[in-house]
This record gives sequence, C-alpha cells and structure tokens, in this order.
Amino acid sequence: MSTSQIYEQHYRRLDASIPLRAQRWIPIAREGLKALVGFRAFLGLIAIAWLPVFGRLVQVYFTTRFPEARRIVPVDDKLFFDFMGMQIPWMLLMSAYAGAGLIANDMRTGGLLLYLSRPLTLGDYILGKVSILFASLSMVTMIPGLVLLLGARSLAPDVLGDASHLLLLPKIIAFALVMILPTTGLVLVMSALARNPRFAGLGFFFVFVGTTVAQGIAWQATRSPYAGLVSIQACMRRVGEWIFQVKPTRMTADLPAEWALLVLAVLCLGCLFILKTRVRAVEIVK
Amino acid sequence: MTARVVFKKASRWYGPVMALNDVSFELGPGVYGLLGPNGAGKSSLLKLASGQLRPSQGTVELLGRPAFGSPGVFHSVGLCSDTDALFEDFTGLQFVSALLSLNGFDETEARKLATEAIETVDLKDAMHRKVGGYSKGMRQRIKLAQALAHRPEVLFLDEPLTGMDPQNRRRISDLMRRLGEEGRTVLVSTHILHELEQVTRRVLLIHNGRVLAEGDLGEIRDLLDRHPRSVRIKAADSRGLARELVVLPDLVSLSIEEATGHLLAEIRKPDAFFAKVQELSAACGVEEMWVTDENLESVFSYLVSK
Repeated sequence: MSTSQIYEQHYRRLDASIPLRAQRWIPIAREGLKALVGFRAFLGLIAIAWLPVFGRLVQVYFTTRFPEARRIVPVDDKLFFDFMGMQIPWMLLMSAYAGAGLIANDMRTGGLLLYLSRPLTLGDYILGKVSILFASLSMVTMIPGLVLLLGARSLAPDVLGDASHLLLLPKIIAFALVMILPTTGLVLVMSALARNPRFAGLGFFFVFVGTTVAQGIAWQATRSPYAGLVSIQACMRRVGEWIFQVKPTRMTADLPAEWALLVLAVLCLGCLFILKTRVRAVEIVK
Repeated sequence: MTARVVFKKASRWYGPVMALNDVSFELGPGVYGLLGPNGAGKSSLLKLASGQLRPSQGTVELLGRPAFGSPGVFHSVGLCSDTDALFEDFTGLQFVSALLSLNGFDETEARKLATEAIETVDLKDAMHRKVGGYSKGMRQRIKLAQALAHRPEVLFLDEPLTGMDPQNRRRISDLMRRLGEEGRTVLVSTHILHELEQVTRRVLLIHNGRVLAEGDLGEIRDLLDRHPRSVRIKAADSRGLARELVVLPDLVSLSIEEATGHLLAEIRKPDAFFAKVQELSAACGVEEMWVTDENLESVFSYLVSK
C-alpha cells in the first residue's frame, strides 16, 4: 500500500520523537476541577462543610473571653482531632459526588480514548483523576483544618502560640492525608469497577459504612481490639488518635496504630493495583 | 516516502474471538479507505494502529515506533474514534482546547489552534455552545476538530461522516482529501463505499478480520452498484423531498417511517441520488443523512467466495 504518489508537504511537521513532558497529569486535574467548580452542588457542599470551622472558631473565641470554659472545652490537640474526625461525613459525600463518575463516565462512554489518544500514559490519567479528588477532598478536610488552626491561633495566641502546639500544622496535614488517600483510592476503584456513577457512589458507601458495621459486629463477638482493622473509618481514627496523641475510643483502645496504618497503606496500594489493571481505553469483550 | 503505519502479520484475539487475523500492510502519505461491513474488524484495526490495543501476534508500528506503549507518538497522531464520548458540559472551544492542553500547548496556543480547527470543520458559530446540545453531525465535526487541532502527521478517522448532512459530508470529504494532499497519512474507516469515493481511490478491504484486498476502489464500486443501498434521511419536509426523489430512475423503493418521519430509500446508483438530495437540501430542510448499507455484507461474501 505504500504507493508512489509524490506530495508537497504544506504543514508544520511535529517530531514524533518529542519526549513526553513532565507533569502531564496537570491539565487533566485542572480541567476536571474547572468542570466541578461549575456545579452549584459542589460549591454548596464545600460551603456546608466549612460551617463547622466557624462553629469551632466561636468556641475558641468564647474560651478566650471566659477562660474557665477551657476546663469543659479545652483548646488543644483534641479540638483539632475532633474537628477533623467530624469532617469525615462531608468527605464521604464529597467523594461520592466528585469521585464516583471520574473514571466511570470515561469508561462507560469510551471517553478514555480521548485522553489516551494524546501523549499521556495510563499512569498520567490515573494521577490526574486522583488529583481532582484529592483537591476536592482537601477542600472539606485539610484546608478547613488549616484555616481553623490559623483562626484559632489568631484568637488564642496565648494558648496555641506556645512551642507545644507547633506540631499542630503537620499533625493536621498528616491526619488529612490518612483520611484522603485511602478514600480517594477506594472511590476511584469503585468508579472503575462499577462504570456507573450511581453504583460507584453506592458501592463506596456500602464498603465504607459496611466495614464499620462489620467492625461493630466483630467487636461484639470477640471483644478484640483488632476488630478495628476491618473498618476503614476505625483505622483512620486510630491513626488520627496516634498522630494527635489523644485518648483512643473504647473499641480501638488497644489496637496498635501501626497496624491500622498498615491496613490503610495496603488499601491504597491495592487500589492503585486495581486501577492500573482495570482501567483500559478499549473494552475487551470475551 | 517512508511508511508511517506498518502492520506486519498482526493478529488480535479477544479471548477466543479473533478480531484481526494476520494483517500486513504499509501506509505512506495520502488518504486510505478502510472498507468493510459492520463487525469486520475495522475498529479493532484502527485501535491497533492507534496504539489503543496491543497486537496478540505480529507487530504494528506507528511513525517508526511500536504503536502500543509509545505515548510520545501522539504528538503527531490524531484519532477520531467511533465512540460518542465528549465533555458534555464544555463548550466546543473548551472541549478542543482542553484536549490540546493534554498535548502540552499553553492556554493561548491551545485556544488559537482550537479555533482554527473548529473553523476548519465549520463549527465556528457553535463553538461557544455546550457540546451536550450539539446534534449528531455537530458532534462528529467537533470530534474531527479535536483530532485535527494539533496538526498531526497521521490521522485515524473511524466512521467520520456518520450523521452529517449532505453539505457537511461534502465539506469534510474535501477536508480529508486536502489533508492527504498536504502529505499527511489519513486512514478513514467506513462501511459506506460512496463516502470513500469522494475522498480516495485507495482502499483496504477487510472482512472477518482479514484484509481481503487492497487497491483501487473502481473495481469494488462496479461490484457494489449491482446491489441496492439503503439511505435514511431526516428532513423537515420529508414528503416534499419524497415527491422530488421518486422520479429518479435508479430508485428501488421509497417510504416514510411513521414513527420518526424519516425518509427511507433504496437506491442502485447513488451518485445521482446524492446529487439530487444535495440540490434539495435547503428547500426541503435536509438535516441528516445516513447510508444504512447492510448490502455491503453480500459483496464481501462474494469476495470471500471468489
């Protein structure tokens, strides 16, 4: 078929050997976030998730006005741990809203071809999608936590300005990562497996809530602290308790934080493995 | 001229199903038609050529590199796939610009190239409208625009004219021909012979995963003219259009589908028919036209038996 016609080349030739540039995932993340910001529900969810920040700031303000109140609601690491823990429901809602369709829609409609017919690898695509969800979840966990810290420090410099609270910043970031990374992985896996955003969202809730229910049943049956290892949420909280050095809850009191962290790490790696093997531009029908 | 797309004894199985069997050919600059009935393996061949699938056996090279696992070649390759997946909430301009940003173009350059490509496919008036509101023909054209926008050296177009009105069919056919004349390699897949005739005379005939023949379109066309083809037309004034078309000598049958109001015609020699539809398109409000050509199958069966 290589025929003998002669052509005059009229177009700018691009060299196919152009090396792949760095940070190829950034445009995927940028366009994905731009699209999400266009939805009122997304912005509304963020706005609601930020309300507790103001509640906590009012709490801090009162403790500065009425120091005796600190005995009941102290301004310490536990305040920030509790705040971050209370953001988990918002994180779940945001995961289902922003994450369930991220891969499912592309795989269902064949939109993945639009990405993979560009100079991108599958890893770039996955990283781009992870970034979209990571940023979305940060907006309801890490960033409110950091803003709360900043606000609380301004309101109560005498309490939070001392050296013993210097580590609050990395503690908040670390706990947020412990919450966000496994959640991101799990939602994207559901999105890749279900191929329907609704089923992906439901599947995610089922796994997240289901493992917590399973933990309750296992604990009732065995009274073993290791029952907490079956629950994603319990593992997150246990690692958070360890990071903030706060008193653990009864069910996880004797659960080693290292084990909980290991479970979450394995979950993240498992999710990555599934994403790498399941996400394909071309449907293979067998 | 160096071959840009090279298949060497390439085969592809989907589990026990063989989609392509021992296919070998080379494509240099110019336009090539990939012709075959539905399910012949055209899309699989395009997916192998564009590196979306790994060959189960043999090799597929694109611009001198293995097509699969060489994302770098996509700086110089454009793909207009058969899937109808677009970013529905983006405008046409945002859609093409967003995909260009994946190629590494900055925002200004992406916008400039996107606008040019959208003008090329004659969608400028609709480029600020959301893609979700586009008609089938407009969606095809915006898909084509994204494939063209980064000025690729090799273009793979899977059924690019589906759902377009006669005027746009002609415009896009002219565009494909021009791209070939510029020295690009354009591989167009279709199951409609008439579409190819307007673009190229060089075809690859594929059936049941095998390349049956490669070469000039003329001989195949003669063969096909013996078989009537089915055409479906969406027009504002279907009855008026039917009145005008019924006098054509090579018309085999003509009816109006009750549910959709579409005009269904069976024709033998399509040239006169398409020319007449073109002529009447403005007066009768012709919006879309499809050649639902199941009869190609019989020609391929004939070729296989030869």
